[in-house]
Amino acid sequence: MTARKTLLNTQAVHTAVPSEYLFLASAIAGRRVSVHLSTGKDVRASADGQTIVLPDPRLNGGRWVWESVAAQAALIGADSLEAPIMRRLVGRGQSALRYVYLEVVRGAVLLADRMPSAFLALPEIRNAKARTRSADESLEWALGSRALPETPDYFGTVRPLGVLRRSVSENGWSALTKKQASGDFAQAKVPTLDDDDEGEESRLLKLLQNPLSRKNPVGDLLSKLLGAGMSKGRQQQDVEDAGGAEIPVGRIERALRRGVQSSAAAAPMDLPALEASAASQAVAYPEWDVHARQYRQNWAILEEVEAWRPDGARDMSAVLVAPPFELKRQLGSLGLDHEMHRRQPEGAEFDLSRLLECAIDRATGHAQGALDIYRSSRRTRRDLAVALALDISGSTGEKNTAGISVFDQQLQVGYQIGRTLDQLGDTVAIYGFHSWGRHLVRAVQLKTAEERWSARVGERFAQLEPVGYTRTGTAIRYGTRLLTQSMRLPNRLLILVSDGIAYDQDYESSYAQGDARKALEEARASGTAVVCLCVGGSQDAVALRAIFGSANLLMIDAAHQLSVNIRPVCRQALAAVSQRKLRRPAGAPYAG
Amino acid sequence: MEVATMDGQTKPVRNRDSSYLPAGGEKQIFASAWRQGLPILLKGPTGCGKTRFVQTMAAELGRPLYTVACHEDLTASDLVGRYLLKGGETVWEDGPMTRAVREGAICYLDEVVEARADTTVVIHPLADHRRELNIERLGVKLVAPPEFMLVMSYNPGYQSVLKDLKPSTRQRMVSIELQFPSAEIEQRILLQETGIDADTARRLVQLGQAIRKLQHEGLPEAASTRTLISTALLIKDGVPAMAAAEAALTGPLTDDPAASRHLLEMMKIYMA
Ligand SMILES: Nc1ncnc2c1ncn2[C@@H]1O[C@H](COP(=O)(O)OP(=O)(O)OP(=O)(O)O)[C@@H](O)[C@H]1O
Ligand SMILES: [Mg+2]
Repeated sequence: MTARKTLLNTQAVHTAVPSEYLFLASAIAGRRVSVHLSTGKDVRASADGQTIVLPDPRLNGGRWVWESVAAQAALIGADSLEAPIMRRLVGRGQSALRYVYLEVVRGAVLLADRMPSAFLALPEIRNAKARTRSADESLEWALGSRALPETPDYFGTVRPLGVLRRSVSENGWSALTKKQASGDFAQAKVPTLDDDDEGEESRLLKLLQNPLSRKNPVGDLLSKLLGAGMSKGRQQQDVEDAGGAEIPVGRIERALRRGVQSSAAAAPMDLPALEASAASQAVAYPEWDVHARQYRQNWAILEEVEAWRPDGARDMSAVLVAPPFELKRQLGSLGLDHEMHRRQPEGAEFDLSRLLECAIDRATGHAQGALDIYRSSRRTRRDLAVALALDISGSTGEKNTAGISVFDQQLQVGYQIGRTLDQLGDTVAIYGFHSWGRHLVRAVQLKTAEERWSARVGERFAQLEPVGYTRTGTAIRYGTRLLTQSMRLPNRLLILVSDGIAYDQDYESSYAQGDARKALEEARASGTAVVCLCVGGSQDAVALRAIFGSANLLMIDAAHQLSVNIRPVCRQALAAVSQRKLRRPAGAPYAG
Repeated sequence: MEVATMDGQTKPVRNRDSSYLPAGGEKQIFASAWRQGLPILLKGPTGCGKTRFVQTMAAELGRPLYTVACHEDLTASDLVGRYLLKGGETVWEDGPMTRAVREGAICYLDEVVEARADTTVVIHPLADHRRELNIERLGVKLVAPPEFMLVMSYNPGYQSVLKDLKPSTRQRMVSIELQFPSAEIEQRILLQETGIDADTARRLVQLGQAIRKLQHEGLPEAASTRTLISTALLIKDGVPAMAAAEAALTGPLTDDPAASRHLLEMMKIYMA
């Protein structure tokens, strides 16, 4: 156990975030990205497609900050960080820097319409020649030897492993974890595997030239990571050579997670320019320690991010199928409220404007005995806000016997429920959640409450991948917060679509269950109904019941069974909290 | 027109009659639909130039323009007309739709999705091949002259699907979708509408285009061409660029304190 902790805790992460650059970064990138400060020794900024990591301002005097943000955001906005290109840059530090030079210049021209004038006016940009017109062209240039101007520090760099890290699946991690836990790994003494290696002669390249064992989880992980980058021949060799080089796990882990784990801020700082307080992008949630019977305040740090996979969108045509009509029928009667109707044949009061019209009709000789002169209140108004939380942790990536993953079934179910409720006129927010320990819980935005349904929602689903772990309590608290603080409708329903395994770093068995249960209690106390939906049938029913109670749990074997039972479960959950609401005013009992 | 400004000097107010700058073939489609007696459905986010487009086209085609701002409680009589009680007498008064039909004008229903279903019923016979307006109370049917045209706008980003147009209404319409203009055209619009200098226009447009890429909580609407114009007008009138952008561009966008702060930080970099 302690071994695993060591693995995952190699670098502490803090939350301080230079929030003033959040919008600048996202606007230029063209999608939501976050900005972090490095705790390491990096002097150049870098990005992984979702996060821009800035150097610790103490290392460079805090200069060139927004310029670095703009340059790195331009790399994201110009699609410079695509996986196939990153694979070819692994271990080639000099080429990577040349690539950055060419791509920042290309990005600045491409995105000039939305870049700050002040950036375009920087001499390195203004005087640059536009040499390449695509990322591929830049790559060829970068790998070649033609002379290029030096890459200014503020352009930052690319960290190919940092970008590719995201394609490592849960399986890779748990294999690593097990091996580490059983003490199989030799620590240190073996070459570093890190983006920081410079030059074509990097140790990383040498390492790659050494056969890596297939039986070695690190070898597995590397071949996954580098995909096409590894030649067939090399992979062949792997199988034959069972005793390949061992790599120190801490090192590889650090390299893979660069941009995430190392993307920390160096403490709530004494640096006025980079404020560290309540940035709206990251929020600290409490967690319930069932053993100590008390909350751990500001414990789990959640950040909202945009969906993005380094390998591009998947084809989702088989997954995101239109919801069956039956589902609409089933969900149609949820969360109705009273509403005043005019021109009714009966009712508690007169409809005055209608009466006036009748009077005029009479005076002009159009009089017909009008009956619809009342106003009445009927239960027709939809006042339901729904948050759909989809578990996108690595464990959902497992496939069933039919070759369909729980992940895809969950996406299908989430998509169909969301689409249906939106069509019914409800306010719907959808997010995926996964985590890598308490400092890095992510809520991937699939549809915001304000946004109307469009093809973009499906496009975001296509950018999801099952990676990371499950911190259920934080996901519930986040959903509750959305419902009570942003959506603010009288009827609130949180639907958690999960395989039910609450498991994260320092978050397992009784602790995880205790916290998830507590988060549910908090949700109900604030008038939010919570339902857990499990698809795929292989879950641990006992554990799930222990958390959610059988009444709020719907377990189905396949997505198409959804319509059958969803209504009673949701209704019951909504009814239970609406009784509570009478006794207790809405309001979240937690900080944030 | 002349107005006094704060420093006591007088300056001419901007030319509000300047015309719509097309982004593509929208003017041709509009004119052609008018000649063929087909109604138009205008789509586009708020402040992207729909009203200005219709005004310009009405002027170019030489037709009067009647504009009705639709809302949820708009009734059929608001469009067609009603009897009023005047000193014990009942007097009929034409609604804007009736007047437009009588005069062969262009009738523009702004934000039509907000209208109630029973008012859209009045619209149907006018929008299809019959082109007639049924005035129930008067017991007459007016056939619209060839010059009459019905134009409706709606903002797709904003209403719930329930309030959407009936498909049967929709199929009868020629649809024109306006977007926010490209950076190049938007810059020209700013110059034309406000007369500010090219550099400021460029910065404002870059900021506006950048804000449109944001999808963050607390930012339900994009910075429209309209807000860029207001900002430019304030700058032209002597307000410092930063203050103008805060007042007219980022201010109206959001009430969310975190989002406002982030916008402000972003604006500093663009306007500096
Ligand atoms: N292509 C354009 N040419 C000239 N002016 C434009 C153009 N696009 C936008 N504008 C200007 O932008 C401002 C807003 O335009 P307008 O009022 O027509 O928007 P709208 O789409 O009708 O908005 P709403 O949906 O809120 O009614 C006006 O000042 C208009 O002159
Ligand atoms: Mg308008």
